[in-house]
Amino acid sequence: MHEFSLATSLLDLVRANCPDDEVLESITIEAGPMRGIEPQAMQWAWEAATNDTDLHGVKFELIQQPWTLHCPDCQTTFEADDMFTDCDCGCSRTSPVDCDNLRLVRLTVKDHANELV
Amino acid sequence: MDIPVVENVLKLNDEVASINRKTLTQAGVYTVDLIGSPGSGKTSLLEATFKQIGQKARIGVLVGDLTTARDATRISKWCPDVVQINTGKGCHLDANQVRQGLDRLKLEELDILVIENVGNLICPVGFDLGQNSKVGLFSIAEGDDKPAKHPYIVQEAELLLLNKMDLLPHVTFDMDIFKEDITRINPTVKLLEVCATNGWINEWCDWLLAKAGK
Repeated sequence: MHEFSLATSLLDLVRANCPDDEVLESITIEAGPMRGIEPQAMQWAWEAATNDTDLHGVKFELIQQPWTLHCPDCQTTFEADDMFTDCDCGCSRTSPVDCDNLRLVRLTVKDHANELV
Repeated sequence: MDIPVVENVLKLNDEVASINRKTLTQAGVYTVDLIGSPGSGKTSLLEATFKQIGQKARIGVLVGDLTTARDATRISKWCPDVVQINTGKGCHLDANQVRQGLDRLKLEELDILVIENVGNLICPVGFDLGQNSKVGLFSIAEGDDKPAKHPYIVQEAELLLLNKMDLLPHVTFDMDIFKEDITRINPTVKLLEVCATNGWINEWCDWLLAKAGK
């Protein structure tokens, strides 16, 4: 259940990146397939980690990235749903590259537009 | 309104890991993060390692488990420099737990530190602890499909060990599939075949001593 560790790691990171005068509505993280993050477990972990904190109720969005594979024969890099996908050139020695991203990429805060009307 | 951010989720862990790495490097300790499934033979490998090269290099051990000090008790028969870290519900060690463990070791007296991570092939891989290298431990009894099912350790490891080689004649295990999957995921990783309980670990010991400059 590394999802809970990730969720607790996110708390401080989110607080550090959210301006004090903004009301946070949701956060978005991007995860590569190597990380093995199970979406439902991650959702549950975020809710559990934020419960009884100032971030309670903040929504969580996970963007799961596809596999990025590199072909050593034709030097192409391409995306695929399966790690063991052959290259279009016929090569079966493709290897995953940059598949372990784990980044907080977006904070969505309450829009002030309505308050100005 | 969206605020774009690009921050590594494990930034805080990685910062502590950098401090650990600096501490260990300054003390001249070569550090291995040993990662393998429950029952793959991590503790047995360490016992055999002490038996074989305990006189050639001083090795310390940080051992992570959810509960009990059984592994530390086993290892303490071979070395005084062992610290058990109980993670409670945590399925892996993090850099801060290792930081606290390092405070309980006399690092300046060690040549090598092995961090025996919690038995798990998934979660520990993503957490930098400040090690020099990650070593992944598979065993024959787990089956030939484990590299394909757990690609992250294969990609991140500098060395992979295949333990319990003595069981090969008795179980269904396709060595070609095992090796082909590893090569496809990480074409440069080194693979050594070992059997800890029989003491067939010469290549592993040579690798470890060479890394530590012994």
